[in-house]
Amino acid sequence: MHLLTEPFEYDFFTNALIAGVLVGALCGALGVFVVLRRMSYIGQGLSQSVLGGVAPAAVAGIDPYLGAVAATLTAGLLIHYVGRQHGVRPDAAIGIVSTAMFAFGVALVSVNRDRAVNLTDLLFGNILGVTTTDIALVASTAVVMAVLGFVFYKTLTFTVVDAAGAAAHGVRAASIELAFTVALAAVVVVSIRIVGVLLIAAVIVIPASTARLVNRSFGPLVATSALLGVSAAVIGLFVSFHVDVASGPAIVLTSSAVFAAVLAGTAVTTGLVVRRTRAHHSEQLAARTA
Amino acid sequence: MTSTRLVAEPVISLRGVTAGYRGVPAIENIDLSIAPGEMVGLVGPSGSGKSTMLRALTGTADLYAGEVSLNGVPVRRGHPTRAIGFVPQLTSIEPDLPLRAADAVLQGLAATSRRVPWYSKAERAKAHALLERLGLAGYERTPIGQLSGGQQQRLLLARAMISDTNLVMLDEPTSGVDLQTLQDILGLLADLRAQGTTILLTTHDLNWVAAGLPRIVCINRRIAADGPPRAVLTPDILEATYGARVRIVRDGDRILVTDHRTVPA
Repeated sequence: MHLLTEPFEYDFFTNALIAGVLVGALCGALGVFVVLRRMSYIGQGLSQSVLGGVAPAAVAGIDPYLGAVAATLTAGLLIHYVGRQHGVRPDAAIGIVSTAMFAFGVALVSVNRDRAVNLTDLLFGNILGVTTTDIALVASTAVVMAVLGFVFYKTLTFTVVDAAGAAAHGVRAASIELAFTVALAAVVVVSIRIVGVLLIAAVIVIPASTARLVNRSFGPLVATSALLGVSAAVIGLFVSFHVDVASGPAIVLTSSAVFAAVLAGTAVTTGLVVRRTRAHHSEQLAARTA
Repeated sequence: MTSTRLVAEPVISLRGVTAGYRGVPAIENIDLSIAPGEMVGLVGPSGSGKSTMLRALTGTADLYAGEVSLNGVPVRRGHPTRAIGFVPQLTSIEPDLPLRAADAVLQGLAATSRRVPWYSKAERAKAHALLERLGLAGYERTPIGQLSGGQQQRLLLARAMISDTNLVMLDEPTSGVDLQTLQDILGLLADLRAQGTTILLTTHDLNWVAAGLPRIVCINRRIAADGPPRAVLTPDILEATYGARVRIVRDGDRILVTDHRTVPA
C-alpha cells in the first residue's frame, strides 16, 4: 500500500500524474485516427521536429515551449504541403522535414554548449520538471480537443475511412486533414515534458493498436484507446518513481507490455475458435459418413 | 465522334476541362453535359482518366483549365458541393476498418447531420430501411470487413443514396462482384434512375454493363465518342479508345464485344 501512497508525499508526482493522465487520454484518443490513416510515423516526425525549435529558443533565451510550438506547427504544415507535391510520397515528406529539423536542432546545441538544452529530459521526459503551467497547457489542450472531437467526430471519422468519398459527400476533407495535423502537433508539444521527444510516437500508436485488437467499431475503439493511454501513464509514472527510470520509457514499456498481452490473448482466442470450428466440422463429417 | 448534348439545365457540365493531380493532367479538354435523369457510362482503358473525371466532379482533382459545375453550381477543389452520392472503387476502402455496416451508411449524412457524435433515430431508421432495400437487412452491426465484395458494394451504394441526392456517381461499381450482385446493382441503378436520379458510372465491362446503358462516353484522356451503345460500340471507336482491335457481334438489340480473332458461331 505504501508503494501507492508514497509518491503522493511529493508535489511533483501529483503534477506529473495529472499531466500524465491527460496526455495518456489525448494521445490515446488521437492515436486511433493516426493509426487508421496509416500515419504512425507522423507522430515520430512531429516530435523529432521539436528540437528544431527548442534549440534556437534556448540559444535565444526565450521560452522553449514557444520554440516547440513553432517547430511542430512548421513541421506539420511542411509535411502536409511537401507530401502533396508531385514525386514526393507523404512518408518521404515526413522523413525529410523531421530529420532536417532534428539535425538543425542538434547542430545548434552542439555549437552552443554553454546554453545547451537539457537533451536527456527533452528526449526521454522528466516527471520532476512538470509545473502547474505545464498542467494548465495540457488541460486546456485536452478541453479544446474534446470540444473539436465532439463537434467534428462524424466528418473526421468519414475522412479517415474514405477521404475522397467524404469530400464527394460534402465534407471538407482536405481542411479536416490539415486541422488534424495541427491538432496532433499541439498534442505532441504538450506531451514532451512527460514522455520526451523520442517516445511520443509510441504513446500515440501503441494504445490505439492495442485497442484495435479488441474493438470492431469507432466509438468504443476511441474510448478504449484513451483508457489504455491513461492506464499506461499512471502505471508508468509509478514505475518511474519507484525504479528511478525516466518517465517516458516507463510509460512506453508499460504500454508495450499491455499490447503484447492483448496480442497474445487474441491469438489464443482466435486459435481456440479455429480449433472449435474444425472439431465441429469434423464431427459433422463423421456423422454424415457414419 | 465527339458530341456535346445541350440541355437547358444539365446536372453535370464540363466545359473545356483539363484536370489531374500534382501538375500532371489526366484528362484534357473535356466537354460533357448530362441532363437530369440520364444514366451514363464512362468507358476507357486503365489510366484513361475515367476516375479523374469523377474526381474533377467531386472537387478532389486539380482543375487546370475549363469549368466544372453540378446542378449549375461551379465545383472548386476543396470546396465540395452537397449534391453528390459517391461510390468509390471497393479497393479504396480498407476491409478491416472498425466500422459497422449501419455506421458506414450513416457516414453519407456526415456533412449535413447535427454536429454531435451520434446520429438521430430518424437517420438510423433511414439507414436501416436502405440496408433492407439493398438486401442487407440483419447486417447492421456487422463489421464491413466481414461482408462480401458484393455486399460491400451495395453498402457503399446505400451510403451514396442516404442523402437523397439527385446525382449518384460510381467508380467501377461492378468490378470484382459476382453475376448475381452485378445484376442486383444494375437493377438498383435502374430503379434509382426511374425515380429521377442522374447516374454516372465508370466501367471496364463493355458487355454486361456498358452495352446495357442508354448512353456511353468513351474516354482516353479526351472524349473519343459519346452516344448510345449501338452508335458507340463499333470496332473503329473502340480501337481508337482502347488501342485494340475488337469484333462486334449484334443479335437484335444485344451487342457483344469480343476479341477480333473470335469467330462467332
